[in-house]
Amino acid sequence: MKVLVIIPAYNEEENILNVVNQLKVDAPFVDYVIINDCSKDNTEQILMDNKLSYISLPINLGIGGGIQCGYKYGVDNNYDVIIQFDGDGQHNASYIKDLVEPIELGEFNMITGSRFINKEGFQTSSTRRFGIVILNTALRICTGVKITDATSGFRAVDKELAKFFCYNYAQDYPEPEAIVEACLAGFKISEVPVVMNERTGGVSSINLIKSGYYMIKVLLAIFIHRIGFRKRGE
Amino acid sequence: MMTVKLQICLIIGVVIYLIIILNLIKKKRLNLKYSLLWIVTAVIMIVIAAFPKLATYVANAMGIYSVVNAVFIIAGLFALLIILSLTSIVSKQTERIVSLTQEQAILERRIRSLEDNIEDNNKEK
Repeated sequence: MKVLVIIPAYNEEENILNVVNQLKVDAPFVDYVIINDCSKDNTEQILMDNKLSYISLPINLGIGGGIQCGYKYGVDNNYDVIIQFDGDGQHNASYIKDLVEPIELGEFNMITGSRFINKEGFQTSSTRRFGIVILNTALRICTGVKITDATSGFRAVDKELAKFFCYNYAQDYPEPEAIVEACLAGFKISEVPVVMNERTGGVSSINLIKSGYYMIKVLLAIFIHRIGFRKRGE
Repeated sequence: MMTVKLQICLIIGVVIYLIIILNLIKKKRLNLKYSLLWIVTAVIMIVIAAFPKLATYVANAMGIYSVVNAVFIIAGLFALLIILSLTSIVSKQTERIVSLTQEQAILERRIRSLEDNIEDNNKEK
């Protein structure tokens, strides 16, 4: 089993080196690639100086385009499992084997790490939890799948679904949309419990002002998928 | 009824508009594929100006009292249609740019690792 970890990084000069070093300790069996999404700070210099494995996008594509680039790279290089892993230190690499295991057994195409199953570790603010509950419910209504952490960016995907994501991947805030797309395309999805940390440095890509826009856009996307209006990348 | 004055103004306006479009196409500053919608709307506007009875018919059918208002509404709807088609073109192009960017970045990485390999080989020699 060849496992690739995609680490999207945008202005993560404070975190990225720690994240990679921790990853090498906690999950020595994986390959990794950092997607530098045209960072404005010294991220690229740090990647170069430390000879880390990275892809550098010439234009800022946002999180969706960056992750999709990682999927393309993973599919090109024949990886069996591709894992999405945040570059800001929120995710804990020791859970990677938990995410990979069900995929190795061939039970599921995608496994998401959920911080709300065992309710351990960093649980984020109550407003954000409320938003996540709304998204979980919308996903459940539209796809029938039971998800407890719709916005989790910590997930493992098998080769087949990675190929699908190469051609269908939402660009702005892609996590909940990716779940809908995968579900409606007939892929099997599940969750495992993980513990997440509060980010150690840098700024989260979603601030409070953007949250309203985020909710409206994602809900709209979920419902449009359900209606079956959109046929992209066929 | 549409006045003869308005008819003449409309026809002159649309003719100027058509000349500009055709000129842009000739200079290759406007892609023929994207200009078709513009030309079609121009032709329809000329037809309406030349045969005002058509506009009267449309006005009656839509329940608009004044024919002139019907002409304005039709022109406005065409403008909306063109804007929508532009948004659709922009979306398509965004998708293509994203795809190209990703492909370029993956190739850049491949070149980088090939260069590193060559360097390592040279050192061994």
